[in-house]
Amino acid sequence: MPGRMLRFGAMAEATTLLVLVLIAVPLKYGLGLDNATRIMGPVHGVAFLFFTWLVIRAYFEGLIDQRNIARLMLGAVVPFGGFVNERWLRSRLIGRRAS
Amino acid sequence: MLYLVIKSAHLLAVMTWISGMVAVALFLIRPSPAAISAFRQWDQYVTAPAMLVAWVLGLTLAYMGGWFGDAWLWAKLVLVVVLSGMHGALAGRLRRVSATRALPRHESYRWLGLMFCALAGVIFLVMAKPF
Repeated sequence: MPGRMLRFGAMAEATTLLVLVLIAVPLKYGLGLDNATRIMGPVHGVAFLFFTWLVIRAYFEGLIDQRNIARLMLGAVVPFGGFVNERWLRSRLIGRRAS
Repeated sequence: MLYLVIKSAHLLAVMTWISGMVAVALFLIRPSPAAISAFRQWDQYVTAPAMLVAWVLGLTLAYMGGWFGDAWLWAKLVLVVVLSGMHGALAGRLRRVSATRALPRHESYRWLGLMFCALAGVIFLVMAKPF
């Protein structure tokens, strides 16, 4: 199925965002473990950058249009939004040419 | 020692990434059906992973050097994001050509010039650390 990496990127970005917001941030402010955000912050940053790169690639590949870019990037900054977008991408890209 | 090993690996990743981008840009100027598969596979399995390695090792070096408070690093990161975006666009066009087998010539000379300027900026910023 085309867009396999894009869907993987959406999942990875969404997962690291949840770990950052639901685990690392409470550990930092609840137990004073600064290392939790010091590690997860850059990990999520790289995942977000990679997902953005995959979105740009998918746009120039012709898999998505500009409105889809807005939807995907909005979903990337909302917790659980990436999971919703992954399912949306799967249903949207089924039947497209194989990647 | 660890710093120098990571720096060497970072430079190797950057060279692999940028050379792969140049190759794709040149290919898209005059695409050839016989070479599409090789270019696409190289981009997918070598150039794109090299970009990821360059990001991760570059951030590691910046962390080790304690440079996150320096303006030159942020200026460099902006240029890296620009280069990454250009690579995404080139890789997307390459995949489109590969999937559709349509061979429209893409005017990549301007992209090559922009790529060169961004890379020159990155090298100047990291070597001179001017601000």
